[in-house]
Amino acid sequence: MKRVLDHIGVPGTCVAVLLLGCIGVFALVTGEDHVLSRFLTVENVMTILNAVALLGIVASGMAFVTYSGNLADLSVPSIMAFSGCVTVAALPFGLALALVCGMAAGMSIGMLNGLVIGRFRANPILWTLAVAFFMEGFMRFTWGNKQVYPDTEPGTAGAAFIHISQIMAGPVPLVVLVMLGMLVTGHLVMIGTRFGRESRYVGSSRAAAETSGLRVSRLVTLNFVVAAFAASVAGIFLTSTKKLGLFDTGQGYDFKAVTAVVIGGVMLSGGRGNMLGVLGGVLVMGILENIMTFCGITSFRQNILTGVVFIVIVGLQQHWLRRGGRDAE
Amino acid sequence: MRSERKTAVTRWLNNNRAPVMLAAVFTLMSLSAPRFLSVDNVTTILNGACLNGIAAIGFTLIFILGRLDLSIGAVVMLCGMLTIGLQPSIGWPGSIGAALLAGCAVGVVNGLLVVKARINAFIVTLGTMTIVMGLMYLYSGGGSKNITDWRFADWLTEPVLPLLTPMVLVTILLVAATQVVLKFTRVGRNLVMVGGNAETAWLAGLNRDRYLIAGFLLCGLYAAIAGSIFAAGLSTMTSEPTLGMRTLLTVLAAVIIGGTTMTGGKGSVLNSYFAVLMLTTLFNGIWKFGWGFEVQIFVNGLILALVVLYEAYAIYRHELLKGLRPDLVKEVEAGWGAPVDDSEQEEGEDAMHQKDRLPLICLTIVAVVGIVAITAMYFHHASGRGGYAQPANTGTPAASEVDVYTLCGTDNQPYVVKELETPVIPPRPQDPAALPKTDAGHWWDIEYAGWKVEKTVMPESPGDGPAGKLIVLLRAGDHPYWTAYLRGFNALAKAYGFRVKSFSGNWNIDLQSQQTDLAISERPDMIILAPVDTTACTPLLRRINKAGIPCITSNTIPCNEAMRYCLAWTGPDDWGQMRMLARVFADAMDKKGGYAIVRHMPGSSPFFSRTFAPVSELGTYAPDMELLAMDTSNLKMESTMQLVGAWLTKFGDELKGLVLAGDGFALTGALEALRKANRTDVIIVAAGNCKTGMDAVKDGQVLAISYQSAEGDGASCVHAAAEWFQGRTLEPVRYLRKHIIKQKDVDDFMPAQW
Repeated sequence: MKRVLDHIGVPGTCVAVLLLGCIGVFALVTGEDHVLSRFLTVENVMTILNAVALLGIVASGMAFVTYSGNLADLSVPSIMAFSGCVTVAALPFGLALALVCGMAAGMSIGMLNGLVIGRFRANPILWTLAVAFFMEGFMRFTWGNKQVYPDTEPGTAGAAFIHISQIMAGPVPLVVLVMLGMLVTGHLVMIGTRFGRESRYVGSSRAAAETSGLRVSRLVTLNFVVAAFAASVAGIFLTSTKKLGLFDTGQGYDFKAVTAVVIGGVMLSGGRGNMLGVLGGVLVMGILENIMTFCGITSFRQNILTGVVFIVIVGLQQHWLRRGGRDAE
Repeated sequence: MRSERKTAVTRWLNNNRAPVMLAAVFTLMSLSAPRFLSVDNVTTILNGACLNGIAAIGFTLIFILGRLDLSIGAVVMLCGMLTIGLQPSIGWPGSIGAALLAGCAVGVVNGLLVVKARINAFIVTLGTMTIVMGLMYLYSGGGSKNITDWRFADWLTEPVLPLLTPMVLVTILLVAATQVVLKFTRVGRNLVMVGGNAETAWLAGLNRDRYLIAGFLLCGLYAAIAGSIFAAGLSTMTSEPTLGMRTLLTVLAAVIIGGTTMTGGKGSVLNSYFAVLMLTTLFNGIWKFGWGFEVQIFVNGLILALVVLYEAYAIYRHELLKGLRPDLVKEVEAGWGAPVDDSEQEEGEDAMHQKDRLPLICLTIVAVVGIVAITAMYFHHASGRGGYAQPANTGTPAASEVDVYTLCGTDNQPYVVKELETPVIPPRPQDPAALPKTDAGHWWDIEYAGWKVEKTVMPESPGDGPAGKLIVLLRAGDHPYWTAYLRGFNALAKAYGFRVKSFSGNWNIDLQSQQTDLAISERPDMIILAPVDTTACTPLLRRINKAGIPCITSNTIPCNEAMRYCLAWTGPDDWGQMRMLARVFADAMDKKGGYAIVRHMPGSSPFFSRTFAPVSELGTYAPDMELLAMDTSNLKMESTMQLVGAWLTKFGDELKGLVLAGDGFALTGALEALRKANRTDVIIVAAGNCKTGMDAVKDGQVLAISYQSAEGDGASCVHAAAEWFQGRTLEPVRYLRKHIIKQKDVDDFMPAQW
């Protein structure tokens, strides 16, 4: 049992406890059987998965940045908006080329971030914040503060682009599959590849990694490119769902993704956590919001509760780690 | 020798980069920006730097301690709200005291969580940020608060010494005091030591925890002071969240530019203040040039990026030298040109060259992507579909009468219509606040603001027509709606021969307040203000009125108090349109069944109008209909999807209709949720009208949207301004044309304006 717990990790347990607790409270609060039975349905699970799919995709990339000890990538919203806008703008050249352009646009920002942070060791939060600032200005200027609409006549690339967000694989939307796929791939990369292990090393102690001959700057660059890749995918999906590109697409995903990643047990100090935890963190956020909406808690109170839950979960995780003697700080 | 001097100069420049940059920016702007250098403008800048300047003090302290406090923006808003909200009952000393206590409380909670529970400060303050924001919303109910006693606000913002108002004096005093304590007292030096090297501090017998908690407390306290002073200076406070977020980001940027490092142990409160001043000056200059928010944020980002890069580069150089030292030692030991070292070095150089090519590759990719994007956009627009054709008949400026009623916008509807129906205004209930929120009477003062208001002394119309007059537009922010608004505004301004200058407030009352001073110092013939906030615009209008400049408000309807200071207001009749929409909705629902409302963003006026207009209207028109739920999703696509999805699951078939406060992303999200739940029977109406909504109406997914012409909105205020200059008396409120768009007439309004 202990080994299982160890493997799933503290975050997994946390998630389970929280979930059960919430559902218990929920049942008590409402006291209505039929509402509870509606909560525990396949449809509702799909609603939750759908709602957190984009967050999950962004978080799967952001986790690498946090994992390698670079705190967070605050330029994620601008990456999402940029990739989306460029994709829409490039649609006249065909869907495939447009998607490539969009991904390249988003990832080029990630490359820039990675280069500066990896090579020159700029502070990741400050640098990505600066990038978010000037990219916002750049996008507002380039597209003249307008929304970029694709041409949605049937048969055009625009129609196909809009259709991306509506593709269903059986009962499951494509975007949910992509999220699960990216989280699983991320998990495999994190535990099973040299890149993942080296990232962990860099995250645990950059100095030690450097002295033992790892190419730290390249690793950090790659980590940011991975984050930008994930953000670009999410940005394209989001733009496709919104049916238009705009400079503030993806607003708020920076802090939301960090929250999910950290709830999931990937420590901000780096080198600790895993992708399953991130999935847990993403689900916790989705389920929490869903439950609160079910209970009729308005968004003002939801703010407060979300903040409290966030601090409590992370605090408990760190407390357990320290008690287990696995974390000094 | 020379290089030593050079290093010394560089070091001096780096250590004093904030004042140097401030001097440079100030000189540059004085030389180039039109009408920049004046006593009034310098006062504007100094006043504008108060909020960020005071908040930056605490933020610098927490940075010196090597921690971070993301909650300051939220604390600024909560404490400002408390100051204004409590003032009527307990007076200024009490309310400011309570606000400061609240700020300290948030700080102590942050500190305890960081120190005792040992959670990362980033996480703790990210959590408290959302919590404090939620508390602020709960306290304000998503609206704004104001007080009508102006004495304190006037005292705070009138200069007592040349250039210096009490507000600025308080700021300077706080900065100076903190700087002195930090530099010249033992406590201050200890604080720097705790931040710089916790171990040394511990060995020196300092209680690290106590200093950290004190640091967080001070950070909360300074944010509270900043919020209180800001709110007191305006006599009003908004709950528009942009104010808090932008304060946090600007302060963060300023503190870094000021030379404080995130790793702790280094920093200067004075330099942070200089950096805040530098940014304020820069933004002021950018507005003077007539550039928008995009330039402002771009330059802000660029400066921050350069500073971060420079710091990183300095450390990088330092590390590089440090790393080379053992090699040098080895080289000396092994003699010159040891073969082993050589091969290693070459390899290293190879790797370096390889890496050095990466920036080039990156830049190339960015450039290629940019070019492709712009070309694609060009083709996209040139093809005419989805693009915006120029209106065919823009008209030519004519000095005498212009037939503006024939001018049409992109949707081929006239910008302004001649005959407007006069609305029927019901009598005001005895005590609106006593009625329940679901009663239309409760909202009387907001819905019919301005109609029965006694205006203060207004400037006289010169009566010589609009040609050649300078009008300044203070628009709420940049958004596709506002881009269309500007199109209408400019089209009519051109037709009348107005000269136009426009500033964008980016939904931040702090910016709009500064821009108001800026607009006044331009001495225009008229100011058109599109307020960021219904209530918080009162001090701005009062200032304009005091300066003797005629003012027309536009778009967001100001509260009664604010209406006293402006000639007139033009804009959409949000309440009326939503009532019309509600009736259409009720008819389609056969006046029965359950419905839910997705609300607008808190802090905005539609947050109330687009919720309670349908609620109160349906309450009388279709009393059998049941309001199942209402909540805001901040008009975000994903949040709306989640919200509506949860409602659909919770209420099942009981939910038969949806009223949406926006037909853009909120509509997309709601439609997505419906599609995924396989529900086609839900009747939707939304406030409009952007392209998304129009397309949905055309496809039959949405029953009806309201017609709120953005171009008409922009045109209408210019039209009113022109009439005023011609000497006509304006009615206090002028609504845009009211219409509900349904499937049968949607084509008349195509193509959509935005």
